[in-house]
Amino acid sequence: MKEQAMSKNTAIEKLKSGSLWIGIVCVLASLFNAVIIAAVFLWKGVGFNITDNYGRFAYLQSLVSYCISTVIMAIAALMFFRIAQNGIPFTAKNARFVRIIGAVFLLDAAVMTGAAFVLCGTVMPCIVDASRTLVVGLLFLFIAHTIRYGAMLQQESDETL
Amino acid sequence: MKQSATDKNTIIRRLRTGSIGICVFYFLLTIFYAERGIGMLPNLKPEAELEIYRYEAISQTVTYFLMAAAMLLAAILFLQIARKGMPFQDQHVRTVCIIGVLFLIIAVIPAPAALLLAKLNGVDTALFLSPMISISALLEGFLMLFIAQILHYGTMLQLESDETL
Repeated sequence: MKEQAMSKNTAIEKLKSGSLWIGIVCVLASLFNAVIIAAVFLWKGVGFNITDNYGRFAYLQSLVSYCISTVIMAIAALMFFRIAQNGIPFTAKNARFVRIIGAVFLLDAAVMTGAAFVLCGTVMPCIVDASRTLVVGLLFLFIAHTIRYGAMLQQESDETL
Repeated sequence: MKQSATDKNTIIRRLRTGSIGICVFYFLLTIFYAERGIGMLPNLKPEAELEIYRYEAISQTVTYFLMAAAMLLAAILFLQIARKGMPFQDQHVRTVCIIGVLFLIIAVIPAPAALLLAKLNGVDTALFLSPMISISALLEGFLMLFIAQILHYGTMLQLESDETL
């Protein structure tokens, strides 16, 4: 029992240091995306001169993708910093964070499909990207369920101790 | 306690159903990458238009087959979760570790190895265009190893829960 508790502590320590590094990478990625949005899309405003509908769609798709990945990276950073602080990955709040990330991916897929349909009259220009985003979103919802299951086990463990 | 057991069973049922869908998706991805790898095989013949393209093709073929192997492992992992409904098991930790290592290999091995091979055979490497290190694959690899660590922690909790019951 003592050995088990020790290996649990070792695992928690590893999770803490790993989370800190991944959190830092997420913050950097989020900042990088924000800089790209500011520099390319807002500052230069290239999209407003595009007259072709397919070009407009491509512009909108890139803009939405950058915005959404900025949001996702910020949420992920928040989650990893929380894990780095308390060393517990399985909490109801973390499950909610992951569910939000999944929902944002699904929103991205819906916006892309809607924009393609409105601007181009067909969903073909985004079918590959949108389906990939849809699958990733569903995968995150699955991970959220796994974390929720882990949170129940964690609660059981805490109550036992 | 009874309520908690019902919640747990509901989640396990949902995990099983979700795993089936994800397993099918990863099997499709396995076929996709294997098909692309097989499609690259004719480019490995010596009569390629430019000799360096052959080495580029070697690097890409190895990457596609390694990706196919990683996707197949992921599909098997989800198939096992779909069958047993238990995400936290030592076997799954090992599988995720292997997938992580495969991603790290994809990130740093194929392109430099193909370039080295080309140089050893005296081929002009000026037109070798593949990036030496795939940053995204490297990050994905480390992320997988981290997820394996989380799963490992989950297996400890699962063991505790099973022993308590």
